[in-house]
Amino acid sequence: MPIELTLKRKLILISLFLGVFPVIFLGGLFINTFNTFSKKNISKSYIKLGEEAQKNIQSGIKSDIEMIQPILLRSEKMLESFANSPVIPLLFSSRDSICKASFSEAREIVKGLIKTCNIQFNMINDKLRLGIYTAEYIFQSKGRVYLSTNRFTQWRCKNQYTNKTVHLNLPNFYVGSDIIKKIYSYNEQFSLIVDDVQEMTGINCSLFQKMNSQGDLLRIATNVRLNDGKRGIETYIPAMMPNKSPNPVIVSLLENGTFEGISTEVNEPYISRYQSIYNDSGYMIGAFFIGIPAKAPLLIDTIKKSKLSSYGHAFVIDTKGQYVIHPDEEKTGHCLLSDTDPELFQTILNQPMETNEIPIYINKDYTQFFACQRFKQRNWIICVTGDLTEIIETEYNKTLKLLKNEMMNLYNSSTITVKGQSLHMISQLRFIDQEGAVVVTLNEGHFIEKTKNDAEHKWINQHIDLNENNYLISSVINLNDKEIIRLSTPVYFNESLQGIVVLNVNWDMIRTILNTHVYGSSGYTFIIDTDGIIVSHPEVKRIDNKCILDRSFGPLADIAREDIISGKTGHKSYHFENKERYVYFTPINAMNNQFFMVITGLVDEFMAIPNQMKADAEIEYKGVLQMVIISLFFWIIASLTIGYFFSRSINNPVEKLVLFAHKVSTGDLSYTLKSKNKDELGFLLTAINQMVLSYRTIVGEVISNASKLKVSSIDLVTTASDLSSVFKQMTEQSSNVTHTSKEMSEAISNISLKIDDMNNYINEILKSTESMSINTNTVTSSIEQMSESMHEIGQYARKNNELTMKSVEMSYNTGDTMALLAKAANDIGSVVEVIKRLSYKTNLIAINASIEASSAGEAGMGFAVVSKAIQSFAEQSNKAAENIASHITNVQQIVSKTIQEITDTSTIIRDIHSSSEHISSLVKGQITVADQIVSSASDVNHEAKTMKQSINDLSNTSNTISKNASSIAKGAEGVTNNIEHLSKSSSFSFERIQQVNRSAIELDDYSGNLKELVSRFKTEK
Amino acid sequence: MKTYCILLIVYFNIFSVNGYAQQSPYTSKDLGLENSILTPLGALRSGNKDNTIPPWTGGVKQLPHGYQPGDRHPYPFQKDAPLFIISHENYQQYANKLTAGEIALIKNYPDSYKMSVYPTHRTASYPKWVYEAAVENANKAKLVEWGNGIINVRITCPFPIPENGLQAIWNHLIFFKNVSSKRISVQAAPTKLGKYTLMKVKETAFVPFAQKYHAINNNYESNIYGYFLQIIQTPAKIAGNGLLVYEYLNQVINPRKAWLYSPGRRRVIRSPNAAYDYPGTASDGLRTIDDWNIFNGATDRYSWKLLGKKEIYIPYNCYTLHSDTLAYKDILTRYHINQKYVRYELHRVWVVEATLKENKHHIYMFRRFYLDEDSWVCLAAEMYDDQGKIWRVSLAHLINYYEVPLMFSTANVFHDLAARRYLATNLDNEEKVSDFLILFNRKHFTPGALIRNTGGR
Repeated sequence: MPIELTLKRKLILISLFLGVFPVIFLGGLFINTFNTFSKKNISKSYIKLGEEAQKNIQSGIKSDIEMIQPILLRSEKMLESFANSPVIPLLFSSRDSICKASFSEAREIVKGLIKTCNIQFNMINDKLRLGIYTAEYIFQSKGRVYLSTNRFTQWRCKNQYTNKTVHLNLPNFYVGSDIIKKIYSYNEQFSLIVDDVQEMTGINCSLFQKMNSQGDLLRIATNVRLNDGKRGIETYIPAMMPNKSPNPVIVSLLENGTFEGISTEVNEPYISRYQSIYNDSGYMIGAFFIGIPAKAPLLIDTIKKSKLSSYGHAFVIDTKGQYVIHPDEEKTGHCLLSDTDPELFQTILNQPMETNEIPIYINKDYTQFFACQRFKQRNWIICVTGDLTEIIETEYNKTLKLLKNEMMNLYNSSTITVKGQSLHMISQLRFIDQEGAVVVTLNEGHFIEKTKNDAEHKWINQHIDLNENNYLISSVINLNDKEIIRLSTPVYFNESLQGIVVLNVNWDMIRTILNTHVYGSSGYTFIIDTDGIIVSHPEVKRIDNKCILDRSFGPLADIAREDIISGKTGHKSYHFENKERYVYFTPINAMNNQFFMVITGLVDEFMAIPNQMKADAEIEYKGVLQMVIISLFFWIIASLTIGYFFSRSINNPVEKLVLFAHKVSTGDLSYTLKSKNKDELGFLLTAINQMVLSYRTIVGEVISNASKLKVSSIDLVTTASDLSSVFKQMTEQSSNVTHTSKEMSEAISNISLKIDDMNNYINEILKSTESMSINTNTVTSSIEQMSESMHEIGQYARKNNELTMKSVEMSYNTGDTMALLAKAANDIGSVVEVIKRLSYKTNLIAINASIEASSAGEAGMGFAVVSKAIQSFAEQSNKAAENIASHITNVQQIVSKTIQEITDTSTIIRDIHSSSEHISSLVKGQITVADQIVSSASDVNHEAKTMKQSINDLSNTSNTISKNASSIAKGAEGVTNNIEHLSKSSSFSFERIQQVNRSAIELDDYSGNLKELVSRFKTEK
Repeated sequence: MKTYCILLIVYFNIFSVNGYAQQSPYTSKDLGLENSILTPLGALRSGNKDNTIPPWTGGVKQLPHGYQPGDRHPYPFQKDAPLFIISHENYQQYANKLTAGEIALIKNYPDSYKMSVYPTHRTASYPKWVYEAAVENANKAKLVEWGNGIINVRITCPFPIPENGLQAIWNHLIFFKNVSSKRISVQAAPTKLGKYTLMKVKETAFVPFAQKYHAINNNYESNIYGYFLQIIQTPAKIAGNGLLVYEYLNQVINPRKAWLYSPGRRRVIRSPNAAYDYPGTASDGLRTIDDWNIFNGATDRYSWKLLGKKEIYIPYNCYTLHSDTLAYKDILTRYHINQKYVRYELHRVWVVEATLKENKHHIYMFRRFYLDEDSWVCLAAEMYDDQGKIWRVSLAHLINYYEVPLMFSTANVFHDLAARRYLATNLDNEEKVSDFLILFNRKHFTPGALIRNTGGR
């Protein structure tokens, strides 16, 4: 029997084949592969991580060594550079070499002073040369020098040295025609020649006459002064000095005719030039002198101020050894002998005249030295002396200071930054001399002047056999709670041991560096020395003296003995206290290779991370496997369920559709189909359902709209006829307004004319008033005339007032009428709105009807014709309504404009009214005044003036009124025109409304026809 | 003191008035080259009554036998023997024919100053054109500026017949000295002890005034009288010192111009002082500038008085002193030159006295000059100091320089009685003889020439 497969069963079978079998097959395959891959990977990763942990330890120790090793090497270098410092030998260099600099400085000072003296002396010489030239010039221009043969002068000649006086009669001394006269006064009298020379050159000059054959020279004219200020004439230079030695000046003059050098003039030494004076026969009859005082304050001051650093000074002695210039004023005149030993004194005095190198003389005690040079022009010995003891002391201190600077520089350059903290590599630097005395100590950046530690001198012995470039290294020592390593090396100078330099390396710093790495929780890096003693450990101090070779360290002690201390690099594992441990070790290549770096730690701690990772991976693996199996089952169930519902969802709607199709085919539109499906099938059901629904709705709406249209068209006809009647009324009213405004315009023109007249009258009054002042006799009659005129004006004014009152009222009426008009226009607007809505709706219905008709096929053809007609009608009625609306809008605008203009007009009219009231009151005032003028003729003149003024005012006012009136007249004309325009517009609107009325009636007919056509359709159950 | 001086002078005048001839009664018509009473230069042609002075016969007219121009001038009167010797013993006997100076010298140096008197020879002679000019001058020459200047004069003496002391001294000032001359002479100023240094002086002169065809100086362009240049050649200490003088006829318009050069200064400077009593070049103060040639320069400081003519024993025709056979040491004895070589003759001289004016200064208060009748050369002079004492005595020793001819002193001696010293100048015994034939022009006498001649710059 053939199996009958429904659509439903087919669909269930398909879902089983496609959903369940693939899932079971692929799931099994996946589980198998995943299991193998995971296990393999976990074991590989574990091994690699273990290797990485070891590498990490090794690189840690390497980085430690890289930090520590340079520090130690640098310490060694620093020690070496300190030991080789050029400053240290300076401390021991001999006295001579220390003093050398001072000697050369002293020499330079002496040289400088000699140079200064020479310059000063040369300047004096230049001046003297000028003086000599000047004197000779004066002599020669005066004429021959000769002695009178018949005239004599009595002279009281005083020996300038002994003050012995001789009286002599000497022939008069002539120069040319001039006689040299005795002149004592310096200020009041001019002494020939000598004062000429002084005036021209500023140099002292004297004239001497030879007293006798011995050559004694008498000063007969001079400007060298005595102590009392007078000229030093009548004093003479004796040929023989008081000590019976010949006077060098006289000797030189007699022999050579000149003298150059230092001479005594009256009582003071001068740098002088003498020149003999001869008569024509060539016999010396006298001499003249040119000189400058030898005392040179500036030069003396310069010498006095010359200092040899702080330990010496310059001075000058004469050839006898007496101080000529000395910084200490009191010493001047004393002998140098009192300040030095006799031998040295003699040597200084007897030193040769000219030497290339200035000699240095040192006394026996080696406490004093002299640098001396002769300055022969002044018979001086210029000396510079210095205190050697002080020099040596000063120089030593200077060198010591240099050494200290160098130590400080070394100390400062030993800074290393560890963990962001600046640490000094050197904790102490010392220099100890050969006797074991500490020369200088730099401790933690501070110099300690003297340390009383006797231990150091023992060190010297340890270094005696040491070569220059070798050094000693102590073990790690605990010093003042600080761990240090002491490096020391000998210092040789001239091949003899001069001392040692000691450098303490800051070992605490090494500990700080080692602390930077911790492996696991108890794995540390530490350093041991060759004895296996732990010298640096984060937890163990040197003072604890722990030795790694001790049995308490278990197998580590053996490893240390066999491998570490023998300088190997490597790693080992060992078991201690039931735990596996790891050790890594390497020697430090510095400080004579006596330190080794070691890391120990528990293997578990090192491998903690790999172990943890392995465990985590295995747990993860199991979880994943479980998840895969569960999801396989779930998928199988799900695919079965989906298959069932899927087949159902396709089958049910298809059955419903078949049933519905049967009903529609019978022409019953009252049933509908419902579907929640959103697939193509659902869309198909919905579309068919929607189609039947649309038919049903369209037919129902056409029926109801037709009946509504009928009602609306009746309303429209009624409204249009109302509108027409309103417009008729409005047209009538506007023609009334036109008429009234025309009347008002005429009235205003009249007012204007009258006002012009009044103006003319006022002008006439003005003229009359003016003529009144000329001719008083005609005043009275004129005033009477004026009074009459004024009465007339009064009447006109009153009339005018009434007119304006009337126009005001009219304008108010016009306003009200216009308001009504505006309201009516607005009403028309609302009617138009209704028409517009109606036509819109009609149009909509027509469009819907035509759609429905087209969808109904041939059955809808007739209906389509009707709907088109309705559509065109709706369009026409819409157009008509728009036309009406635009006209009504125009009317509304014009009306509102008219209202505005009428409002303006009424305002102007009110103004006119108030102005005419004012005129009326003024005229009344005028009449009163005129009456008063008539009754009081004596006040005419005075009143006439007042009147003239008032009339002027009146004239101005009436002018203003006249202008206002004419402008009102123009305004009134404008109003009239506007109202006429309004009237025309309203009659046009009226015609249009009539047309609307007709269209509404037509619409009514069409709607009747439509109702009949749609009544055949059934839309409700 | 001054009054006393004047009194003394007056006394001397009165004392000596007897010895003087009366004021000349002659006019210029009496002047003539031949056969006139007066010689062209205004001297009496005739001799004296005692015949001790012969008449003037034209002087030396012919060159001595064997003499060539440029030679030393020979002694023409070899045969003459001294007539007598005036000494301290007998001077009073001749006192009226001795000058006051001569007497003072005899008195001061009684042992050595002895005057050998020889027969008189009026040897003065000049070229003919000089005589003609002199006669011409006598009619034209005129003193101007109160005697300080002269105009309308040419070649030689302006006033052959002088009317006053000024005219007489002007005759001396511009007597004919030839146009150009060059003399290298020696001067010495022996000390009291007779020691001396020889100073050699080169003197050159150019006198345009003496030119033969020189027009009379009636305008200022021709005011120049002459140019004189002195340069000391030895001793070394003062060698190279030079003095240049421009002398003018009218010294009021053009005062004397003088320039000095000294080797020490090596500059030429104007020396307004080189006049009056300014010490004479290399004179040791024993003479003044205006003592040169016994008197020269401006006359304005003195009042002049002509006393008239007088016959006196005076050095004249001193050819022996001129001789090159003498050495300076023979001549230069103590106190005065060796009198053995000085020839004294009796000659008529004009005596002119000069008294220092009030308010003027000069070391000589009073001077007396003795001007040779035949040549107008001043032969002797005496100078008095402000005490009125005779102080200095100057003597000129004339010879005729045949080659021109003209009269000029072969030695001027200035005695300083106070100092008991003397200054002998113009000695040329050991030098070349003075050269009057040399020709100079103005170019040789500019300050530049002074520099060139002294070797300076």
